[in-house]
Amino acid sequence: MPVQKRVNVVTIGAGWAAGIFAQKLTEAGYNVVSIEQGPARWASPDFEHNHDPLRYHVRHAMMVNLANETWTWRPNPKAPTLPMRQYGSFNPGKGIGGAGIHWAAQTWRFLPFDFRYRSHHIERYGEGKLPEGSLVQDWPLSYEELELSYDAFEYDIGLSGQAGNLNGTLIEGGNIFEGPRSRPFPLPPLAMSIHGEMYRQACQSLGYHPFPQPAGITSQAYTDRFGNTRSGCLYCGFCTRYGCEVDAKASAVTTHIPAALRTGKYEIRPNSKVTRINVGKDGLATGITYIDAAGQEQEQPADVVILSAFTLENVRLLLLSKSDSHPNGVGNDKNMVGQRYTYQLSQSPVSGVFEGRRFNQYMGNSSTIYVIYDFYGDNFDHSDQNFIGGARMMAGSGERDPVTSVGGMPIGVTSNSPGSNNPSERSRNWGQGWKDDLRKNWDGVVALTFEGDILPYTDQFLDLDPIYKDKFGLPLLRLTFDFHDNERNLYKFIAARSKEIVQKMGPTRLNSTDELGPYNIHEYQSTHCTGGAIMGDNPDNSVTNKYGQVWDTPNVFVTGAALFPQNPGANPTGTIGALSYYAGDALAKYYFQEPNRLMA
Amino acid sequence: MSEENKNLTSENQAQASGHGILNMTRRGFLQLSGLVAAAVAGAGIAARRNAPVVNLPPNEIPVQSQYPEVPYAPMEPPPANTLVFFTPQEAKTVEALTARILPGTPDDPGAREAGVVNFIDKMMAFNEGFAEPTYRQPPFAQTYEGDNPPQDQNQYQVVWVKKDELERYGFQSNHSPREMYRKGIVAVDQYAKSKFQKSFAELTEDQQDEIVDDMANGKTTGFDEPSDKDFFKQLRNDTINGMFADPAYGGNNDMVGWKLIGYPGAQRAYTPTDMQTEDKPRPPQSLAMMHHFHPGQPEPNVILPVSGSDEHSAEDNHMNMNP
Repeated sequence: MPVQKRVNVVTIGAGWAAGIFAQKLTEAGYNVVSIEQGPARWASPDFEHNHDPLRYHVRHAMMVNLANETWTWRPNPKAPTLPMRQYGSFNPGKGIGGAGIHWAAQTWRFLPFDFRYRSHHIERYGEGKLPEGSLVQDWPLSYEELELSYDAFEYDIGLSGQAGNLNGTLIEGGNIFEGPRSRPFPLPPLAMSIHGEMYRQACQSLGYHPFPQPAGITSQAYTDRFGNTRSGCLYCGFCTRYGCEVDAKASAVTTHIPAALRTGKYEIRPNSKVTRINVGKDGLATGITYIDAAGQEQEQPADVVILSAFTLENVRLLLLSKSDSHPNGVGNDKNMVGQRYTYQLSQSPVSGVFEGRRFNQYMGNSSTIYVIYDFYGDNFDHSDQNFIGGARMMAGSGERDPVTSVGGMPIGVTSNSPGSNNPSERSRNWGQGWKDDLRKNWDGVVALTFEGDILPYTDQFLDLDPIYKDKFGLPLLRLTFDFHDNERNLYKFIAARSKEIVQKMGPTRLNSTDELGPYNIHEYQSTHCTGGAIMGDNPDNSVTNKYGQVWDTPNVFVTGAALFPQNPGANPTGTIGALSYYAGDALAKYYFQEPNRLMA
Repeated sequence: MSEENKNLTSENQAQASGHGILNMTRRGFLQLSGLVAAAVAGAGIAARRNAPVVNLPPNEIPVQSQYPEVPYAPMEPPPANTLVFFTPQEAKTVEALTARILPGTPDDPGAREAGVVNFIDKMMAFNEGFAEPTYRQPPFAQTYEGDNPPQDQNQYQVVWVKKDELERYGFQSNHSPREMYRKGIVAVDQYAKSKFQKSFAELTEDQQDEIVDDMANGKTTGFDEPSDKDFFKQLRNDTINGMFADPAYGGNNDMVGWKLIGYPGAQRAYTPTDMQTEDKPRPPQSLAMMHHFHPGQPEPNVILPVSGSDEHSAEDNHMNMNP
């Protein structure tokens, strides 16, 4: 096998986390190579002509090619397993910038109590409040420890929004539930949509505290500290699942990767797939093996290996990398790899039809809306509730395109043909009545959505599939996952609140789903898969320490949402960025002084 | 600019009939894309093998077809009068089916007038008709009713799944859409004949609606694989895609799908005022109609494009970007 020149650091993937580590480490003088499974691409010229929902949304051009590899799923350990043969539940990306190219760019900080998830709930409600079979635990670091990293990430990417808590002072119009920020947002919020404004007014009349969605999308032209200049948002409506043609939507490609490349110490090898982490007799990693663009297997020796692929691929690679020193895979000496897999409860329980209205929902993006945090996490009293956790709630978004929205228009909302004599036609999602409704109401249907907690459970985990393989013959990763009572109860509560809000918005009629059905893998819900290689305060309850440094293989670092002990509901990228800044700084400053040692 | 990029540019310029790279039209862009797509499939791989490393600053990266497994939109709509997959009789049945899902008249176009059958026919020509890259490794699912899978399991490896649980797992067929259409069309016509003694396309609209309603509700006889419901689902999805995807794919003739619902199509930009004003939508614009747009090198102190409609801002943007 050809062996490439040894480098200080090799990253698996060239997405958000890899870009951040590469920027920090090359700035500190180390050389870094990223092995990226997908292509090279930049805003110009690659995203200029991508306003094509069929290619980018329906056909998933930017996502991992499922013909080559996928994930298998079963709802519980006793149920049969089948592969996800076509895209559904989640959308991992490929290519330079990773899923950070096609993300929606809703950018959050987790709240201070999210980091003390277990202690907080026990202190407030007693241990009996934790659902049976759940495995929640505290993070090994606090909001306060991470605040400067959040702040640095947000300024580097040009975050748009309105602060609600500036050094402890609450600011109306911002998120008054957030943890204290040391500085305001670098940019003001994006412009808000018509239905967004209606949602704001409805929430306010109910006594809630709406605020503009914080966005990793520049509301104005912005020059970052590396000298990258980016346009403000054009509200074109081609955002999630597309690359931004003017770099208004932040990614590692708008920000960190150009800075790293300019040092001359950074290389990215595109269209190359990492197949394992190599481990020596001493139990330390020696580098990685990959298959290059030409199909040739290559070895890349490195002092440090950084797992910065998608959550599920990071976990899979740890499990695939079996060796004499770590017979169950890297990080898995105590069988913790794959444990605490969770997901995000991302649902639309209610929609309203505002007959004849045109809200321009094809303009803007998922951040041109208001949000409430009144029912997020433990922002409300759970003493009388039969669940823990909560959700952030909002009304629809922009970026609606017909190809992907027409089919899902809820029956009974769009297909209400009062003129029809045929009763069955009123519930048909096809035919003349359906067509007339689309004509009238396609842009007048607003969905209320929420994103909430899912806890880790004993019967919910990741492991290698015993049957299905990828195109190289390596086992796929198997997901064992389903919703539990806590999620069902949480859903019911949030759905009822959503219904109250939409009623205040004054729709002609509404459609609601009051109960959460079983999890399925065929409907897109959220790409916020978390856990599987969680961080913790000791090797018995986790795979890594607070830097993502693997307990049993200290020159391997895990990044991203695999590190989250549980999923608190807010979208993960803000925290993935902050954790990468936190660990990247430590690696650049301290690690190489005493290599191969666990950092304190 | 790399050697590879230079080569691509000059070839493209030749093909794009004299359009310079900066003023390249949509057509030119797509010819370039098509060129590279072809190159990736064949000789181009050798060039890329020699240059697998990206360590260039942004905007000097060669234009590549980054996702060869998913086709680019064609440069112009494929001809409607040439069938590449369906037989004329099959096309007739499919057209009649799509025309019940989205009915129309010349004055109020539906799926037939939009050319949806042309869209589906051309879709079948690529990747066995799959809309997206699909994992097709065995074993495949086999359903059962009752509490336990059948005892007399044969020698073939299958995954037994309770019938009412299968839907949770999404697409699990070992049939390609091509096979589904071939068999589904036969089943529809047979069911039509069993009920009304004529093939589907020969029936009255009311009779056709009865058939489609039976399919949608799983009430037909004679369907095996695909099931009536699955075939209806495939037809409905493909009708939506054909009616509302860019006209370059062969459906949505004259953007009639977009006009129906008031969707302006592929626009470069809107202003906050556009977004906050309830007004008639802009006239629709297809990919082919989009102005070329090149944000250029992000140099310090250069004002990059700001919000504005495509028609009015394209020239201004060029001026801003090339001071």
